[in-house]
Amino acid sequence: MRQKILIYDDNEEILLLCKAILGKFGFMVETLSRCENILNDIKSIQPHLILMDLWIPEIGGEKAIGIVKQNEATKNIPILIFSANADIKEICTTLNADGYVEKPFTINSFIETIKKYTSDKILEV
Amino acid sequence: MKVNEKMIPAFLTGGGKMGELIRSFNWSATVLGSPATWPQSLRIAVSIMLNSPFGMYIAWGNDYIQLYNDGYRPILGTTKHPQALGISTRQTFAEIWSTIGPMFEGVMQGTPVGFTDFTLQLDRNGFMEDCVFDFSYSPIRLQDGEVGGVLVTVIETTEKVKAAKALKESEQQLQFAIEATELGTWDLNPVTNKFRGNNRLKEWFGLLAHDEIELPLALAVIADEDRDRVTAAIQATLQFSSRGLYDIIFTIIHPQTKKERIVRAKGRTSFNEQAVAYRFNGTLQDVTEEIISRRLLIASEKQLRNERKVLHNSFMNAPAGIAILNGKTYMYEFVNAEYEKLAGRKITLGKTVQEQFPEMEQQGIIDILDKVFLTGEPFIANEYPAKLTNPIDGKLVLGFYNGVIQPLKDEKGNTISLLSYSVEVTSQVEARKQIEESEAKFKMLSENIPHMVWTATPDGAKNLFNQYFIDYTGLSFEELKGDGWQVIIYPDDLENELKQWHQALTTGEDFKIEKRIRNHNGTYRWHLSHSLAQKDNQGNITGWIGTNTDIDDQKQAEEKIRESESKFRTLSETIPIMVWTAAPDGKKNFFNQYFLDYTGLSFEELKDDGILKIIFPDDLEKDLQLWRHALNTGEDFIMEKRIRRHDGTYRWHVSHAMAQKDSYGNIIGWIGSSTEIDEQKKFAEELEAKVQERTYQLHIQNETFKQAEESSMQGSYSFNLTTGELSYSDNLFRLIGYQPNEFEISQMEFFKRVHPDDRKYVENATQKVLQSKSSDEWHYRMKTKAGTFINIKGTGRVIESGDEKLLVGTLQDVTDIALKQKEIETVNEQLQLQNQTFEQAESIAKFGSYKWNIATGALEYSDNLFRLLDCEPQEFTPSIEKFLTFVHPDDLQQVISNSKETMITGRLVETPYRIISKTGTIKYFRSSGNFSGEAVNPLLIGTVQDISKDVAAAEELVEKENYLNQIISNAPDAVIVINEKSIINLWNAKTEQIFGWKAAEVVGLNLTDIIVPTQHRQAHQDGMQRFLKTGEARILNKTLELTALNKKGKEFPISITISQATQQGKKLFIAFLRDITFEKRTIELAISNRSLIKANAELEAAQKLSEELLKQRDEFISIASHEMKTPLTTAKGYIELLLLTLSEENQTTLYATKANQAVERLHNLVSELLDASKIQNGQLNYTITTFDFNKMVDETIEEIQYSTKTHRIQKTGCYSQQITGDRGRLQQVLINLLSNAIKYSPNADKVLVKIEQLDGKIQVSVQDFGVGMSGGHLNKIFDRYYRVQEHAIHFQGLGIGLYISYNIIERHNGTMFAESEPEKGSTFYFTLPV
Repeated sequence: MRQKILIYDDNEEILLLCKAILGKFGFMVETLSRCENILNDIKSIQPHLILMDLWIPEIGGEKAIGIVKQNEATKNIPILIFSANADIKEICTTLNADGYVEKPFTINSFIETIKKYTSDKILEV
Repeated sequence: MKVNEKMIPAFLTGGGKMGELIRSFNWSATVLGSPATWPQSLRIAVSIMLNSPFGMYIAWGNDYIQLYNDGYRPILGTTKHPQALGISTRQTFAEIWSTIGPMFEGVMQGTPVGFTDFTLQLDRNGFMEDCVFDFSYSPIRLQDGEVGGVLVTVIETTEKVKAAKALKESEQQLQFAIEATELGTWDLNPVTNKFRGNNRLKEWFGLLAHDEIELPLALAVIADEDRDRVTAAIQATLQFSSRGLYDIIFTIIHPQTKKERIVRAKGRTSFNEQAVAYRFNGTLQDVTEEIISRRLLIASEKQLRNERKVLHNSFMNAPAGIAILNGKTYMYEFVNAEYEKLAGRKITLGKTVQEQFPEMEQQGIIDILDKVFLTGEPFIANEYPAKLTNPIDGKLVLGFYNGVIQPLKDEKGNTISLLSYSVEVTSQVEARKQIEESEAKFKMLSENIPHMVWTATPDGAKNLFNQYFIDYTGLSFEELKGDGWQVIIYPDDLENELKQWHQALTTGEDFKIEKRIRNHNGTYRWHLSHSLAQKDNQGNITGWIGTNTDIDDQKQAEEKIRESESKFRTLSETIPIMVWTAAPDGKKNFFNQYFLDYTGLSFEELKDDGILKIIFPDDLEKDLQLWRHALNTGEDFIMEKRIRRHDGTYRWHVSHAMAQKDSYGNIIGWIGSSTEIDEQKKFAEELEAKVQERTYQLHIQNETFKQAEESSMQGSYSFNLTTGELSYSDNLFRLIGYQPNEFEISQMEFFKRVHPDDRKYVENATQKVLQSKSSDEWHYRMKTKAGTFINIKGTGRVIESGDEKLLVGTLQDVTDIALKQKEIETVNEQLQLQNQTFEQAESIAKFGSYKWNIATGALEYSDNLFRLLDCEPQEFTPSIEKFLTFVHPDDLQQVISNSKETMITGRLVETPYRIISKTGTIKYFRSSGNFSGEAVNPLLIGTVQDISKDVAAAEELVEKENYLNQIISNAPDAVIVINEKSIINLWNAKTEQIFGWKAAEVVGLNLTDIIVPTQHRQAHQDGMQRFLKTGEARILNKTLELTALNKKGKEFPISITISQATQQGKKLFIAFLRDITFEKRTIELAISNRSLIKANAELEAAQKLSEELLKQRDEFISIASHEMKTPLTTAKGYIELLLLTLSEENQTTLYATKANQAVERLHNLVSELLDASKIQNGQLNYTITTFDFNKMVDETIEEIQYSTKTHRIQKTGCYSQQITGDRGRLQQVLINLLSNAIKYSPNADKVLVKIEQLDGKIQVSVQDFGVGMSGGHLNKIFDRYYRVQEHAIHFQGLGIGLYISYNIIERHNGTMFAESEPEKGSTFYFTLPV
């Protein structure tokens, strides 16, 4: 089964880019430019990994991560911070996120990181 | 140590005083040692010396220790004794030791010396003197033959030598004298008659040098004319009785030479015991020259006398006082008339100065004369002061004299008399002294007077300023001199001052000027400056003197008066009372508007005495009389009079005038008022008329009654009680309608005609009279012939006549009277009713009425008149005397004279007067009335009105005015009153102080122009207009702080409270204001203080702020980096993808395009950020060129069109001309607008660009059909970082594009704006000037 990646970002260009890249590497990609009810989004999309922009309407990335991590049903879904913020490492630790992808990124590192959190499924590709 | 007498050695005994000295001398202290040890030879020598009467002394030993005796002592003089005892001769005679020292040494070698008349110079009496001695120095040998000392024996011969010398000199002198005087000597032997003579005598007589000369020979030589006389004289002298004295002058003629010689022979005869002359000798002196000179002298004296006579004559008429004073006693020898005039007395020749001028003795004049007389030097008197006795009053008068006292000398140069030449210069001296004094006085005064004084040279250069001037101005002389003084003159006054001053310098006329002078505090005060030209006798200007007197207080007072007047006028213009003012002479000089309105006359028509035109003619005389009285006495004027109103009707007024007095009680003007009392007056008159009417009715009734009485018929009857016989008079028959005796009278007949109801009464009454026998009166009715009943008044009394008793009486028809009486009763009832009404009216209108019978003096008062006097009705019996006790003492005279006038002329004088009521209240009364009744017994019936209120109102006006003046003048705040046109009506002293404007300068001007700063004037006027239109007052009755302008144009803060009043329908605004500069400053100071105290807190705040700013900057950077990184990410991503898919040819173009777009955007963002920060710092650069606008637009559209596939950019309009600007920047604006239009209309397919040419500008619009925005955003979109929130998710960006565009357009002097509607789209416009 192909791994499904859910990406939250307010920038449509970034989302298109990510779709193109990840699609090329065999991932299924779902993108959202808003985050209102993340639990609903997860329930309907059933992602294997979530990329979360910190600057996302309406509730913001930090809060969204908190919701996911505090929910028993979703807390095991890896969630990576997807931001251009310089303090991304610290924020990651604070929010108890599973990892991060710093913008801008190289395709190589981006795919490596994605794969790392979806490793058991990659073998299939 | 005292030597015991008994121990004295024998050799020391005796010797007088020196002996005692030597014995008591402590010889042990000398080298000689105790006398007991002295060698034998010394002892012997001492013993000899002590006992010698000659002067001796011993000088013992090599030291020549001295011992001497009494005889020697004088030689030692006063300074050498007694010191010489026991000391060395070397010491004692140090001054001659060089002479005697060698001699002493010789003696000590054994060689004695001795001299006579040896002269030595000794210092023995305090001076050097020549002393002459005979002396010997002898050695005193010791036993062994050696010389032990020197024994000196001395005799001073100084006196002897001197005497001898003197004698010799005297002899020589005598000889010399004889030779010098050229005396001849003769010696006659009377016995032989021969004489001997000396050679000179023989020579004179030409006689041979025989020893003995025959007297006749000598006599022959004597001149013929003298010979007998000489012979006789000789003979006489030889007689004993002549006592032998001979003295005769005669001439001898030399026999050979014939030379004449005048000789004086003097001689004496010696007689023996027998009185016979045995010798006659004497001298002969040549006195030729003496005699000749004496003769000459006599001649010259004669001449002198002549000369003096001539001198005297010329002196006599000299214009100076001349006197010649003879001799040392200063005897008047000559005086001229002028001298006597100067002396003020008659001078008696021969009297002395001292005798003539006893008063001069103490004044040193004799000393001066003495000095001239003794020294021969003239005395020159220059303004010599002398006090001479005035011959008239005997008082000493000081005079000053110039003159010379010249010595007159004889030919030998001896002063023999003095010539005094003098002129009196008292007046000149006094004049000069007066000038000096006046100068000194001027100096003294000018330095001490508390006024500024200066002087100037004729050309106007100031050369002196007194101390007060210096002190007052605080400037030094150096600063003030020349034109320096001009700095102290108030600039506004200087021009006039200089003009006047220059004019004065030209004309030499005095001038006075008022000007403001700056004192040392910098304050200007008004001064009256007075400059006077100083002129000499020829009228040439010698200088100027000026004073400046401080008149500031006066000025201020004048200002105050003006101010007060203006305030008075302002006030008087607003009250509905007629007000006027008049000068002290009574000429009216002001009428208020009400007055003018009321009379319908102009000021010109009313002024001075024009007011008389409108006084009712009947009131005029009295008005003038009262007004003249007021003017003369300064008492208040009060009068009721009729004044013509503008409509021509005369209306009653109460006029009141009060004198305005200064603090000295001088009348400085009059203020008067008139209040219309026409209504009251008419009411009073109506009441009076009623009273009179009523009185008249009463009178008429009385008259009627009287007539009735008079015309009533009376009949009499007689009833004989004894006989029962009754008789009637004819009239009685007529009374009851019958002809006399028409019927038979009887008692029955009588009773038959009595009314049946009254018969019993008549019977009883008759019985009663008969019993009482007194007279009585009855009323009953009787039937007349006509059958009617008439009312009868019957009287009757009993008369006893003899045996008969008669009842006699009268019967009278009183029917009419009864009727009238009834009528009267009715009228009286009515009157009473009326009276009550009247009384009520009286009490309401404060009237009282009175009735005065002038003939009898009877006076009646209405109840209310009593009440007006604060008395109970009818409390006292009214009388004129009683009335006068109520009249105010000051008005008593007036009232009495009015009363008299009334009694005499029968005309009531209606002057208001004051009364003091029972309770002590002062009330103003006005009496009026009319005469009625008979001419001989006139009644004055009238009313008295309490007009206190009217008077009080008039007085109150004046008082209020005064009070207001005081309040306003003394108000601690500035008070300004303006009308609705902002015209200043009132401006008080404090206001003057605050604004620097004097009331006179600004009253009548528009307040706005005076104190409102230019920038607030419109607001002030708008506010006033709004208030007048709508009544909406934003500032009334609130204390506001505003900015005001003072006279110098300086703005300063004031606090102001404005209230509004309405007078006569006109609105007035009263502002109380205060200069709060100081308060403001205080507050500012407090604030600055507080800020100082809070400096730390502020520093902290500043730090926080900078931290905040830093935070903001961080935030910005964070956003920027975030935003920039995003497209960077994209670009990077696509480029990488491009690399990955290079093989896939079909995708390459797409990816390249995407990457290109992202990179482009990134570039734009970075540019925008930079631009924004540059705009913020004002550093955005512009490259100005001239370019084709349309071409620029087309190129930009093409570029943007190239980057979008979704939208079609459609352009309409065109501006194909060159414009000047930054082409790149304007392109940037267009790109921004087009990008936004595309970005915010994702669902649309076109963007419209429109270029329009409007008036002086081109307008470019970019219209999209996108999301649009609500109005609230429109005014914010050009702000930096502003983003429309609804679109934040879909349309990223920093929101600084429009901000930059806006700034670029603004920089090109264009405008930028937008129109938008949500969900319809937006249109952005920009314009550029062309």
